[in-house]
Amino acid sequence: MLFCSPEFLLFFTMVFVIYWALPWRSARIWLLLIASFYFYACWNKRLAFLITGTTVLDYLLALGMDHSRLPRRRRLLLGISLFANLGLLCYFKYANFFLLSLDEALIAAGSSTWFRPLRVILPIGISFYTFEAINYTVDVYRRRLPAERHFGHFLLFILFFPHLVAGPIVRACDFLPQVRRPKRWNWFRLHLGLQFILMGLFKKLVIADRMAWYVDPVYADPGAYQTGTAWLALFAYAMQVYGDFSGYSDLAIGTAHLLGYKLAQNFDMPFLAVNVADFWRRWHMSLSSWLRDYIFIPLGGSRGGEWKTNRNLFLTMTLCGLWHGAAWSFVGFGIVQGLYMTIQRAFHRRCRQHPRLDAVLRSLPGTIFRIALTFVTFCLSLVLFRATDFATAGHMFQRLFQPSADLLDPPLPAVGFWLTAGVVVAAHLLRHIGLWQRWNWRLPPSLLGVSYAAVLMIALVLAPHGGKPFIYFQF
Amino acid sequence: MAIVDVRSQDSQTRADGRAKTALLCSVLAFLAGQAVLAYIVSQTHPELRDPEYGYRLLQLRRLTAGAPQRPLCLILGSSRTLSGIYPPALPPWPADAGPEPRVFNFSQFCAGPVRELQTLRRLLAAGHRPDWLLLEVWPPYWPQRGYWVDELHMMQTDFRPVDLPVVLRYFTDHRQSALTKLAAETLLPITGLRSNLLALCACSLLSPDQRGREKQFASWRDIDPSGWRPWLERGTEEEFRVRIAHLQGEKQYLEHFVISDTTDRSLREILEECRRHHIKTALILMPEHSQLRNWYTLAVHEQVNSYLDRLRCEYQIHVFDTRTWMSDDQFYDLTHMIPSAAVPFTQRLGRELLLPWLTGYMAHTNVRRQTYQSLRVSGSRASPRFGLANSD
Repeated sequence: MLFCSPEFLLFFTMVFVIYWALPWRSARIWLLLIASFYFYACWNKRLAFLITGTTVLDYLLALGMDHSRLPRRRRLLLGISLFANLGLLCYFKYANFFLLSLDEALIAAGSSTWFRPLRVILPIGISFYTFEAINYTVDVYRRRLPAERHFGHFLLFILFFPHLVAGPIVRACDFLPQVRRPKRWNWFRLHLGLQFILMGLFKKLVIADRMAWYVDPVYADPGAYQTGTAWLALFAYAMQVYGDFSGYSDLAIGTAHLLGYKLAQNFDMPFLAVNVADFWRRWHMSLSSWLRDYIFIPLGGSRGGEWKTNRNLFLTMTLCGLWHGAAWSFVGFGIVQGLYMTIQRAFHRRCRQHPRLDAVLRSLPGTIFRIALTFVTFCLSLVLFRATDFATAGHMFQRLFQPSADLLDPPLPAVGFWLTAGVVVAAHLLRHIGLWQRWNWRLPPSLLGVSYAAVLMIALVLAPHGGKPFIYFQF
Repeated sequence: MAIVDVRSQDSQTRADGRAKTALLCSVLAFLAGQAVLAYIVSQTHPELRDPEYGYRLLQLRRLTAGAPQRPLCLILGSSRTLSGIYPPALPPWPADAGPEPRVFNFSQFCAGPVRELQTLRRLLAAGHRPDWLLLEVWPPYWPQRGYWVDELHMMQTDFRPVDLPVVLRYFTDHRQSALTKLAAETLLPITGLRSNLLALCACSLLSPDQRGREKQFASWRDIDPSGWRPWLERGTEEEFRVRIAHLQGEKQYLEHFVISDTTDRSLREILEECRRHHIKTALILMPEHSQLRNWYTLAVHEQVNSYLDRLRCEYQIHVFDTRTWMSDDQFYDLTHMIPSAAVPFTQRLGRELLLPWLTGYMAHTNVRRQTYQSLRVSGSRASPRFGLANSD
């Protein structure tokens, strides 16, 4: 059930109406649980039971950790929780990847093949809810959070359908207090939620799905297209991923708002980032902050000198790449991000020693240059993210940097690309200068309403026939 | 503290009021937008929904508005009729035969009996009641199998509320999706119009699978005012052979021929509808290439003949059989005539069948006798004969 499908509209409308019609708080929570379970079971019933099972385990282990005063027992319980969560993640997502990689390595070394791929289905959203469960048990272990006593509340923290399959990655300390708080009907919140939903729909239907038409044919056969077309596809893919994932996040945040919950912001104008560290503070923020708190800092963070900091950054970003998918190209994407971070840190140090260079870079043209450089370098790293293997990525890089003009033009007229790019840039700038917020408060509400209707109609006109799945569902 | 509370409460109330107004206005504006679109599509720009149907409807409106007192003869059928009957080529109307009827070819691509019923219903609902209806019947469509399934082709077109009975009664495999499409296109006209709106206003924004829309609009916009649309030229013999080879797969449906319940019910419903509205009706079998005629077995001929004869007797209608009228070199493929064949065919059709029928000189009893005679001809597979007008 896709967020922008008629089935979801029907499902959510029913949940929404019943939810606010119910006068009892606990009944609302159980309704959300049933709806969330149904939402997940629409993909796979068995896996819905699996995710519920692991949630029960985490609930019990956290209670055990909370009750216990013995550090060894607490460590053991945390170890079991991590083993169960990461074990399932590795089994479902990475087992075949590791087995096949080992197999290929053995074949390369002259041995005969003997591994057979496991027949497993990847549970949708496993990377997201595993990280949420780890965040909870680790925080309980660290005594930053008391274990949740109410089973329904904890189950809802993991299963809450707006964030279940593709985030944002919710922190227990943010979400659980909201579950306990009584919810009152609020027009302002409804308005806010619908604004997010409208924005999400526009990003997904108008930006992401439209950009996919420029990207898919080129990546399917990079050698057949001109260099200019390859660059167009490169930038189009950045906008596609942004529109797709940020659109999904907006839809999740919006639907959560309509039910009285607030989810973490996941994107903050990432294409205005001035360097790669800034970029990751603005892109998939819930994952970046999770990686910072549960991998980078436990590894030592930036406390142990330059080499150790770079090593930690490199490891964290490599794991970030691997989190995105079970393929070496994703690992490559993570490694490239780690390299970017390391280079950026080194350059930043150098700039501090050269105040004039620093001043030039901080001027308006310098800032524009840094934004452009960050955008282009990120787009180039996305080749690894989008290509199914290194060979395709190699072909794409070859096409990008070996000029050729006698090949195919873009699959569609480029005007569509430029218009969409213009919308993305304009939206970033409007938000950056605060015009968005000002309009929101100063425009007459009737005009706002008409503009919402116009945006929705434009999104419906420009939407492709038949919904495309969200890219991050596969993660 | 109390002042702060009052202020925050006040600002909350204002924010709530603002939100409520904005939401209400957005819903109203959206609904108004849909209503305006629905009005535009149904009244002024029917081509926005479906260029094939819409432009023809506009032409028909123009034709009837030009001379509202003259009777109307409507031709409904498939691409064979669409490209085969060229109304301006009809012989001159006899001066003593009363007011000259306007003849309009409202045939559509891939239209079998169900789609013909749908079109007739739509036209009646739009206030276009013909005085005569010339309805194409084409036996390969009757089993409703393989490529020649109405339901399949109708899913590519739009649906309107007037189509609901047709969908409910004749759709089986695609009923659910057709109903969903109908509901969506009725309640949210914009969803059904988006490709067409883009094709008309911003064709460079069309998706790759919708790129053909622009050409579709252009091709229907410039169609002949009589509704006729020429088919393609035959090309070389090699191209012709390749074309024929592609159609071989459909042969099986004629070898195992049955008249489906869908076909029977829809044809009868058309005839019932015509009877109810006092529309004089004739069925026409359009010319076919000899190779296609050879695909019909004797048993198929007998089935077709007896079925048409039953309809003819039950509904007091005429059946025109022109299947052998054109020589093989006049065909683009096995079924469609080349553009230059439309004029001589229409002239002959007018002279021998249409004018006698329209002027009322064709006696029903005579038709019946001739049909019976032709039924009794024991044709070989190579030269099957049935119907009224096999004069070759």
